[in-house]
Amino acid sequence: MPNNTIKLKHGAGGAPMSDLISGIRHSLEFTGDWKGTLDDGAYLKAGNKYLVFTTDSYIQSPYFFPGGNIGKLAVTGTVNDLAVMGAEPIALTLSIIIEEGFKKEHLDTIIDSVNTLSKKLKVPIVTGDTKVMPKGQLDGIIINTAGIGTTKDIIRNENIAPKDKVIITGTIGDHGGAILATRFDYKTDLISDCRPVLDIMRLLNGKIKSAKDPTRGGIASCLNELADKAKVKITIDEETIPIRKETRAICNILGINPLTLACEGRALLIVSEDDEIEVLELLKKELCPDAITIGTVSPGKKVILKTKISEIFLDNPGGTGVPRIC
Amino acid sequence: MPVDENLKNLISEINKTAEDINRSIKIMEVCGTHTQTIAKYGIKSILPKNIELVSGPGCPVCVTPQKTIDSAVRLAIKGIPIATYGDMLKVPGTEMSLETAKENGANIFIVESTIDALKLKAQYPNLVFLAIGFETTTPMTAWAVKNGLDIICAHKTIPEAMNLIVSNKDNQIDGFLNPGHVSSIIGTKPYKNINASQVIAGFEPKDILKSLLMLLRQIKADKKDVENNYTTIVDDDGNNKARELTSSVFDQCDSNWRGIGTIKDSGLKLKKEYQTHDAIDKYKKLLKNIPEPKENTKCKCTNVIMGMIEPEQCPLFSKICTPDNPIGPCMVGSESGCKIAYKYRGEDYAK
Repeated sequence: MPNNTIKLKHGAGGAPMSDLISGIRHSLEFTGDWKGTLDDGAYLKAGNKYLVFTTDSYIQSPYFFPGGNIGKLAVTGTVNDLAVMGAEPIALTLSIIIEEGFKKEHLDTIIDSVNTLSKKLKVPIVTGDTKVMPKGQLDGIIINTAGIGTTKDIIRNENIAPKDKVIITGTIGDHGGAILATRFDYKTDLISDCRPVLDIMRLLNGKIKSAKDPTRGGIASCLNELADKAKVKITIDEETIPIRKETRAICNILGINPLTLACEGRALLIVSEDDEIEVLELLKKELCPDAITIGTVSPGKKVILKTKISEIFLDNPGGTGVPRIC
Repeated sequence: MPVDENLKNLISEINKTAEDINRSIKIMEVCGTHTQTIAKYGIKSILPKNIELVSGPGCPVCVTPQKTIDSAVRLAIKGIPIATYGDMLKVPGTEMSLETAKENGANIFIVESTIDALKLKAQYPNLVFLAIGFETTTPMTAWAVKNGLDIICAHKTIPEAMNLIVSNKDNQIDGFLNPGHVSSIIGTKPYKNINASQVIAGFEPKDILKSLLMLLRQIKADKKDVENNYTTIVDDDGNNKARELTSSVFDQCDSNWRGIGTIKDSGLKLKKEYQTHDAIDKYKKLLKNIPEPKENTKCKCTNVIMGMIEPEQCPLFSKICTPDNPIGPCMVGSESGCKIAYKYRGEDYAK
């Protein structure tokens, strides 16, 4: 029985999860005219545009965290999935499953965050669903959002070539770090980076070859996915990766690799060598003061991390992270 | 080659000294967190060819006997809530791991410290803490026992294991990188009787490189001293308060190390006055007839722990034994040799 059950690692954003998803995708044989059905969002040619469609379910413990709550996260995450494919979101759905006994004021705050962000981004919530389940059957609240968007050009993960540059738009792991700090009751100033990256993608319109929002599994997972899909080698210079002191300290205490921590408001961008300087200047001018080039693409495969001493291989994170012992 | 001038100089000094010694040298890093740093920064790849770095027994998950895990699993299945450190959950037991028992509905909790375990005890009064680790984690357990926590005690002490490794004639170790955290508790004195060159090291790459250089200089001069290169944290006396806490709750005893066997005086057992907190004794009826553990004979964890082979030399490594499907304990913990080697394995092992 043990080998035939779903384990927590299957939801942790690494290799076991990819295997599970590929298996499910393989079983769902009919995809019609939709393409990209194994990516963050699928797309369909409609006239001279593409429709892009994505969905995501949000479980977050704690559901209130420094810098946001599960409602803000649910809008941000789905909008970002559309944004990194180059799409302008046109509508979202909102489905909520609530545990019996959940505080009404907590729900109100969560819905308020959804509303505020929806209005700010001008992306309406157009339909939804609500269920309540008996106490103990879920941890507070689960939110699902689906989003639909349009674009003239799809930004695809495969569109990467040797000499391209890898840019990160800000410090990594702020969200994961803030969640861990709350969960383990560490006093820090860390705030989740939870924010839509739509403005960033609009600003750089036409200059991005490929983009990812490094959520579960962090940049380690995204870089491996990109290298894999585009069949290239990506070399990252560890010293250049922006990581806050607090995040690093939390990771050291718990024995967790910060490169596997989730971001909820960063974009990992692949740009051509010729556009690198211009993209960085644009980013730094207003939206992303900490944006920086962290790596280069070359022929080959896998992700290489250049440390201050030597080079190592950056693995796709597997399974759930647990705190170290000593 | 690194950009940093200090690191560059250290490496060229290491190269020079290794060349002067002019024979192959085997150095063991005792502590799993050192193994982490060495792998994380790719330190092995820049060392001269005649220097071999091997991992030692300093991973608590690796050396906890399978029978201890089987006992914890049995208690959990029989309805006794179990709390322990996260890395213990995946260690394979004879029938199942604690993780599998948890999936099957047993009350098993990951804790970060014994404070968390005591908090859980308020909710689950018959909670048992599976206590593992070396001199660093033992004082926290001692404190919790004084506050009423029941435990399965699998605590061990490091110097005795180092002594055993030195006495192994088939596996000549020239020097040890001594553990930093353990030394912060026990100080430098307990190492004096170990017949090898030793340097107590910190955990930054420059600490490791500097300590390696100090070791090589000792080896070159044929010295077998205990040098302290982690003076910001470690002094000769160590942490008296922590040691007193430990010795007020525990007595020394012989202890079984998974893959190694029994090492004299290398373990701890509860003193008579705390005997009522010994879960193995308290629940002996539930623990009857636990079968003798069966281990996979192809698994080479023993040889890895003793520094006789590199993880990559085990026939199961990365083929059958992976962090998602660990066959032996060394593929489990974040301080475990095989897991670390797997995580940072080179292109050769890439799928």
